[in-house]
Amino acid sequence: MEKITDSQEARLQDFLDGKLEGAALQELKQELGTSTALQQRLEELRPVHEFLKKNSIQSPSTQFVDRVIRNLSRGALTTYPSPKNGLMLLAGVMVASGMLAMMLTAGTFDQISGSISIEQMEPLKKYVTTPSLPQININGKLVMNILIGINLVLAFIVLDRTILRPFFQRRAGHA
Amino acid sequence: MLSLQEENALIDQVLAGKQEAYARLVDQYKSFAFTIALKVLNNRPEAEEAAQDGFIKAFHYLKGFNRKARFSTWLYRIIFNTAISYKRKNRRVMESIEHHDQAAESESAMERDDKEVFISKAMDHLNEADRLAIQLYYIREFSLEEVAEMTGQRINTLKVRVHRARQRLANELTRILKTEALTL
Repeated sequence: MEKITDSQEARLQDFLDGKLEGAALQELKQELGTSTALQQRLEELRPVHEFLKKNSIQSPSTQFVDRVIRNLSRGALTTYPSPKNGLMLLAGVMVASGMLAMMLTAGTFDQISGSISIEQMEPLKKYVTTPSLPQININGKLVMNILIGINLVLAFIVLDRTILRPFFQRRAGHA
Repeated sequence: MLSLQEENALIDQVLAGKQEAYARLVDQYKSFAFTIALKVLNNRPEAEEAAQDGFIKAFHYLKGFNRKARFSTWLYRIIFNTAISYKRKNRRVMESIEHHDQAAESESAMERDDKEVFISKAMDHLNEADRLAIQLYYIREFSLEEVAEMTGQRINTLKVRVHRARQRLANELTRILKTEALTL
């Protein structure tokens, strides 16, 4: 049995979509008149096309518009991560903060302090010609305290976005 | 159908703080928006929630709408993306609901034409992207360009998906009908 080509298949589909016109349409009609394989393929594609055409527009519930308008001030629910992901993120941030705090109390960062001279840095030495760059003073304890502070702020934001705000919004929505 | 001027006037009113104007826009596009969400989620309550959420997002992002495209195209893209994120979030729940829907569907299958039942079953075997492409393409009044804009795909990619999906459905239908004929 003769096989139809990809180009013929594509043209059959365009024909069903009503996108073939003029000479291209006439050409396909002529081919359909002489090729039983092409006719058969058209009859295989037609029920699929007819079935999909029944793909009608669905209507939402009658209160749809009211619900949208009522919740406009609420903001979109999906902008927040899921509570599960939020809790995992929160746990990660808290563990990191806890470890930093423990290391800080154990005095791990007490020795890390001093100053860095940019001019003396090996990769930069050859580019620095004038000794005018300032020295940077580093205090390990202070840096870690800042990191812990940032972590705690982050933890609060995660708690608010993933648990507190969605919870209160849901309560407001049910009220 | 709203004209472009009417649509722009309503958008201006919404931006000026009139929520009634937004209610008109929601009312105008709710059915298409809901149908898009339904095609993605395959579940009416979920689709309704996603469509509502999409409209709420669109309201909050309206200031950023640059009016180069039609409002409807911009809105449908938000609805589509919202529905996709709902689907990702609720995948496990959805699978059990879809399973339930299939069971309910097979009960009503007796009343429908055999071919339609077979095509409907064959749809479940299409990959997700092809199934969505063909379902959105066949929603009345959506052109290939609009579906491409909505889903963020290139027109050629979408056209290939639609053709491939239809081809596979036809092949699957032929195969099932042959098998059915042999078992008679």
